[in-house]
Amino acid sequence: MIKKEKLVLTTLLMMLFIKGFAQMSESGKDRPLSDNSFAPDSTYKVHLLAARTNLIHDLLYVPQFGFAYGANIQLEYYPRQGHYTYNVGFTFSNHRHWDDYKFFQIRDLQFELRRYFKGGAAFTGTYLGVYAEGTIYGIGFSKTKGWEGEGGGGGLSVGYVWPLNKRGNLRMEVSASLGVFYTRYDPYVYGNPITGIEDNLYYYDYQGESSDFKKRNHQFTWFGPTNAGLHITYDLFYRKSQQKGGSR
Amino acid sequence: MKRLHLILYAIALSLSLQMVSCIEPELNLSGETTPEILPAIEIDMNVMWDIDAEWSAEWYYGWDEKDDSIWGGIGYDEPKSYQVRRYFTGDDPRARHTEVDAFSIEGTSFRRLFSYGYYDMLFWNDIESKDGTQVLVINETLDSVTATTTGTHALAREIFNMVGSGEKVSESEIVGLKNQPEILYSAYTEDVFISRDLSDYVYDPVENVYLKTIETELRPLVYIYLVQIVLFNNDGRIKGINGNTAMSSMASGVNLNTGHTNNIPSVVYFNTRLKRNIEVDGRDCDVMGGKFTTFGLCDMEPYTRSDSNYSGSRGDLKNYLLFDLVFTNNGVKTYSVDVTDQCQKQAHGGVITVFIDCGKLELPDDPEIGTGSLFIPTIEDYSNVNWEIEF
Repeated sequence: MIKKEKLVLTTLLMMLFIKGFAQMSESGKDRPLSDNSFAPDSTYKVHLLAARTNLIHDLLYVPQFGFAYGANIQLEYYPRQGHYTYNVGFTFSNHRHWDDYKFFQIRDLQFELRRYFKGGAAFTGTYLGVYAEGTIYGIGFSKTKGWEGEGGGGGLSVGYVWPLNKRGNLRMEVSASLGVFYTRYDPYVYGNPITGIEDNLYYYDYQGESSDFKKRNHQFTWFGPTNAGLHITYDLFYRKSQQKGGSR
Repeated sequence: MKRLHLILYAIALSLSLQMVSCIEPELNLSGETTPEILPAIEIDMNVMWDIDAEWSAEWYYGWDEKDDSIWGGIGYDEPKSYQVRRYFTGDDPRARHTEVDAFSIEGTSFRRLFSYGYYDMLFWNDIESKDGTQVLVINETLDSVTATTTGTHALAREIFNMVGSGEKVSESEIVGLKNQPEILYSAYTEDVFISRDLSDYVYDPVENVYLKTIETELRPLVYIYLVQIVLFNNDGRIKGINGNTAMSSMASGVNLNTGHTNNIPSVVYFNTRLKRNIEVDGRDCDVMGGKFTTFGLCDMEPYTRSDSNYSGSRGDLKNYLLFDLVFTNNGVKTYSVDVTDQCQKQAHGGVITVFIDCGKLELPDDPEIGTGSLFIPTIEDYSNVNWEIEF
């Protein structure tokens, strides 16, 4: 049932995106979108919402696991004016190689507040952000190396955005994040860790009394680099704005 | 803007669904899986054929097709099905049996789920009698299972008073004879421990069960004796036989748990045939022969149960072979021969041989007053017949 719902939603999203792109292309042909040089009293469009993907997340290679492609989707909301934007991102990968005892499943949701140094709602150039994220994950590299857990963190991000085309609706971005990530997790193994019997089941790597067992009893805290990005951004929606004369 | 809101909602919903979609593999706690997966125990029973029986004695009687049709083959047949009694004693291997799980199985191997703790297990074979009449009587209690036999002919008690074989017949004029038991095997395994440690088991991924194989040995509780009575110097004096034959002081029952025979002597009735003109040690003889089965000698088989040892006493009982001879004047006499030594040397079955010099036998004086046999077909047919019997 959940799979069906996912399929329907994914299809719906794709259709809406395609439709949005088509409308955008028709309504804003060859007009720079973040350009402030419109004539006075004319109507123009400024970006409202953009989709972004982090290519590093999309094409991730993980040592001991291999190529672990995923899907990273971010939506950035641009206010009418000012320096700040609001960004929400989701990274999803769902690799389950049962025959090789390898798993790479990530669900990461991130919220970010960005401040672009360039003003006037341009939202390009260098920015500094603050982010918070929550993650659930299941990672397994072999019969004896597996971890499942949840975590969260936050920190600062810095990046630089530049347009890739004349209109500016397609942009490239590089970014890096620094912060803290805290996770509670359980290591797991294939087969019963007490008996050593491989019964096609995965077990918590725990050999104590069952009554003493506590889930997510392991924890790990990381301070330092938390993310790196090479992003492609594409504007999805625009809002109409009126030039009332003078520069903004 | 409405469309934008719709998209945002859809995206939020989609992300939520993706976020909560399950992370695999599902993890188990090793200690928690054991109570839910009861181990299956596979029992393999080996039938013990190499019983300590003495078959090296000279066998004159032979065993032809007619013998085979009357008494069956000489050896043991492997049973096809078994009764199983499973006694769960919980955490105490010495606890008394308070419950029993009874079932039957085909073949000598089976698989069944067990709870954690100690078990005692008893097996014995089902009886397959040709005519559907079972001689063996199984007496079950939670503590033990014993086997006895049904009764058949009787004997006038004078013979035992005379030979002092030990049978207690004080209150009766006759002695009941017992039928021969069918071949019976049993195996009793105590203290089968079903642990929670799954390393004691082998996992069967096909049937998703933990397996533990326990081998147990089925031993015979009924032994086979071949009896031959060589009649030499029979110059027509012995006309024939009526087939009445019996062996005294054999155990009347056996405990299936221990294999130990009881100390209640009984006389086992069996039939014999006469074959003429058989060469025995260079002489032309007539040979009576037959087969009988028995639990064995009284108080036989030492055993250990619940760490207690019992060696058995083998009380001072004499084994007599009793048989009828029909003389040429139609008179019948019942004879008794002490075969105690042969029986004790062949406690688990063997060949019992008796030589009779017919030239020394006297013809019954007056066969008209009765058959002369001390064997009584049924109790109702009994009439007190006194005969001088030569031993």
